[in-house]
Amino acid sequence: MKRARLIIKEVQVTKQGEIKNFQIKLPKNVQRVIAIDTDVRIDSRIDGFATGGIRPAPKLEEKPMFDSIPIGSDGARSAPFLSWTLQKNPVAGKLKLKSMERTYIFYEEWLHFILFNGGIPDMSMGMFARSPISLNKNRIPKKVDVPVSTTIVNGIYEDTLGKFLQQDITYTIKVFVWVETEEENDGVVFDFQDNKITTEKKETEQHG
Amino acid sequence: MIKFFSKDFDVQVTAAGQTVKRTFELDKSVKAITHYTILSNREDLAYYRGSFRLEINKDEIVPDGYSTKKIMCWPTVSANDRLKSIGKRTTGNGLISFEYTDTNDGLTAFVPYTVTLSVEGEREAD
Repeated sequence: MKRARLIIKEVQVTKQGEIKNFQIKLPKNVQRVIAIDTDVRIDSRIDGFATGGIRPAPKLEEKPMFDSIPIGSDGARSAPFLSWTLQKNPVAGKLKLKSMERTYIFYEEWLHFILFNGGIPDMSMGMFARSPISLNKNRIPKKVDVPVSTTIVNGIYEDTLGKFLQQDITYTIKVFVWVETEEENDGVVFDFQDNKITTEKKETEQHG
Repeated sequence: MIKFFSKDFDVQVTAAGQTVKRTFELDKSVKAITHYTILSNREDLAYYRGSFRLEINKDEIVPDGYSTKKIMCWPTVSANDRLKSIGKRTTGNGLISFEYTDTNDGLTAFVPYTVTLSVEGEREAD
């Protein structure tokens, strides 16, 4: 198995519905693209919605001890006591990658902005600071197998987050391209490069 | 005889947008690094704001700009999977170069925090 290297491409999106075309330059000793991973970083502040929208994580150090819940004429709070909110991971946009060696797009993904504590109900009831706990799983790069000789991968990205919110949101998408080079691996084998499949295949071929 | 080795290296991030570069020296008995991860006392800040570069024995494991969130682990991840495997990288000169970059983002407000590079590997028996 040859040595895998990581190429990182950052693309900043600033306008709603923006379509970005970009090129990812690979080193000359690249043999093939073996895996793709992505990430999104929000650069500008997003205002949350009351329901159904994006509710960014509150800043814990600025969260008040008591939320200002209005009290009705009968003396009762207008918000039910046992109510909580749920944060959802917003979709940022669609990424497509294309290589000169392949006729079609070899990688396509809806990019999500993964919140640190997305999916966890806010049970603080406005009385306690929200617990900084995450239920996220460690993500492994998605495997692809694209032999390359032109050392360029073309990318297209279309924003949907800004279009949905109808405002310009500045954020950066990162495309992590794992490539296999001509270098010997000198012991470095990443977790997504499981050689079990290759070994099993070879064994099957030998026995078959 | 080969024994298990584990060590944590701390990096203090004291200003927003700061890049902290540290080189750590391993004990001579350490022969290889097999796993690594990044921990923090403010996981939310490291998650949203952090990126890093890691080099072992002058061999770049990941380049500058790799998101910290890709390496971090959570209580819901099983203990066996919390550290990222990198095969078995011989330590050679025993130097680990770690460069951590804090970047302002739209969801968090900066407060000073600590980032920990945790490595596991193999060492020679005493």
